[in-house]
Amino acid sequence: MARISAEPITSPPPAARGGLGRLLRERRRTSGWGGLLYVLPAFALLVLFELWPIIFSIWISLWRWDVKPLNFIGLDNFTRLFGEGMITRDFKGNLIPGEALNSLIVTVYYVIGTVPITLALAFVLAYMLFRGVRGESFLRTLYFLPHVTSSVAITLVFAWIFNPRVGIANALFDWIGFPTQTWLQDPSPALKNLLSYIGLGGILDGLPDWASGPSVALTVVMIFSIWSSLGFAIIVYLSGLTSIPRDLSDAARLDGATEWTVMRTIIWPLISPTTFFLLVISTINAFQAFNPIYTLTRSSGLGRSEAGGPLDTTLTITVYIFRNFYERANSVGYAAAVSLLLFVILLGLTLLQFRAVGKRVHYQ
Amino acid sequence: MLSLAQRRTSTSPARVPVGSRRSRIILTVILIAGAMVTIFPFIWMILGSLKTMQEGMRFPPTFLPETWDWSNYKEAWQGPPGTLGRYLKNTVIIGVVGTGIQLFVCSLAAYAFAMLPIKGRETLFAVVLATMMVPGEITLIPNFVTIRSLPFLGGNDWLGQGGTGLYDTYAGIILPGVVGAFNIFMLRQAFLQIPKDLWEAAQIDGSGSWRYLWQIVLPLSLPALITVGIFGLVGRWNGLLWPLVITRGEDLRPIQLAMIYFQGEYTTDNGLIMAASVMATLPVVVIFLLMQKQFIEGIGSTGLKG
Repeated sequence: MARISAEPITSPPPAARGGLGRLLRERRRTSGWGGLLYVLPAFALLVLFELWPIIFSIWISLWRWDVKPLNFIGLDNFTRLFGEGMITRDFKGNLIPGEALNSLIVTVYYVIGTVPITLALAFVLAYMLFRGVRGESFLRTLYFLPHVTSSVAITLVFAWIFNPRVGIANALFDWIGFPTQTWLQDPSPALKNLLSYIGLGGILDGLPDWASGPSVALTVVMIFSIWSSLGFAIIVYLSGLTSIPRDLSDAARLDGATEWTVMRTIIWPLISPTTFFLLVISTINAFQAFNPIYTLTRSSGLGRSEAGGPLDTTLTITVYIFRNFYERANSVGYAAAVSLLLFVILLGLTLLQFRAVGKRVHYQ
Repeated sequence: MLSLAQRRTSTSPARVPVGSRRSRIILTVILIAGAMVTIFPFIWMILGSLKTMQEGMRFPPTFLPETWDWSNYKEAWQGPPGTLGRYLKNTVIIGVVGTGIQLFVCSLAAYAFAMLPIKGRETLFAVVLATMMVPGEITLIPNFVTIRSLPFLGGNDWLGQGGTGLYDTYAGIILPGVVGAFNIFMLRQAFLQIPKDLWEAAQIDGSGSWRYLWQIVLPLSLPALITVGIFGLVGRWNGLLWPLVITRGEDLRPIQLAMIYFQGEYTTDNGLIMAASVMATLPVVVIFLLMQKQFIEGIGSTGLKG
């Protein structure tokens, strides 16, 4: 990512060659207006459908808006978002996170639960593939397949695998002697359940459920996400590994360095630009994930075929935006306000990653 | 693993299996086990598509179907309104037209950013790259409104009022996602790798930039184009949110929305859903398998490694 700079590769045209006609042609070609024509279609579309929406969102967020604008309400949507959306009271009068804050917490669980595991697994598998085994390209294809097919169809397979009554996941749990689960219908925190199962129940008991990590339902969604994004990270890592010069690691091995030392002190630092690239891309993607969460949890929300349940424990910020935009009446303006919040968070996060990690990345 | 490859010398060529026999076997076993877990859902999908409804509801589930029941495919094909064929046709139209326009428009831009002198090129390119940070969710709502109120289209007047614009049309489904900054970036990386001597030689021969693009740059960048094209096709094949909100009925909806329809209508007949899933997944898998050599090659040349 850091190599993004528009280095011109054209050298100044050899002016002395050829006659006047050629000279004029050269001038026309290098004057800069012809090149602009090539850029124009893409640029216009990007401005209309990627940049204009930011400004337009701000406008929409100031309205009570259904399919059409209803009435101008100023900052009311933001007051709602940062008021009851953040902190609210439950029926007993205790302060609890509001809908919007809850969706942020769920999103953070989702990002932390998927990105590091995906990258770590991908690096290990890519390194093993890179070290050379028979049938490397065949295995690589198998690992990449989920990325090509991460669609509704395959989430339905996952929904069946994790079906509480007839799923093979429960058959497996039954077979090895674990209690069967209700998976996508289970709003209780997975970590708490696990700890109490192995007899360490006391540790997280003081915490309310929303603060005790992802629910069982969200964990199933995360398993799907890791499964479907692993192949892409492996391919990118493999492509990075092949471009590392071999002389350093070969020399180290000749000097008697163990394979572990070679990996830790030579390969890992040299692959850090790839890791950084994947970290930025995967974090952004995870924050924006929608399809698997929507299809796996549809009909587990409050309304008919609403996504985000059980008990909103899979309601990530994107599903929350969708719920307000598409499934609730008159809330398009509020949805736009939430999407602006997501945009600001993503922008801040990306800049932070560039500052914090970018400096320590080793570029060849 | 620690003693792996200690005996290796620097003269050994790349990608030759190295290390002791035992560590190589361990590596292979781990990788095969991981691959089996990875493709298990596909196997389960295919096996499930051949089970009868009763067998699909049994616990514990059978692994292989007791009777190989092919009727699920016929029934799933006829399940959604207008048959699954209509959704597949819509997907192919959206995928082929969308990806075609995408490759054309992005190639032009990438070519100019890589090779042509433009006034303010750095600034323009920075603006293009900045759009990568705009999340899909923020564009969803405004683009919905924009598509509905494009002037002179779908009964709209010049102010974009009165009609529905490109709402519920193929163009409306295709248009907003047709250009991606990332695609321009990837193609530009590939174009930059073409030796600039070629460009100088072409200029001496009097070849204009348009001809140079079509005769030299694009043919030499075929793997990168295939990579971007496959990403585009797969993205459109798997598109869900935008086609859902920008269409009214089932008429123009692509394949993933047929699956949403199945999920809603046939909640208990897993065999049927699996048969539909196979039909919705197979085409894109076949395309990938046919193109994968160029695809992997393209990943290397598009700078997709940081």
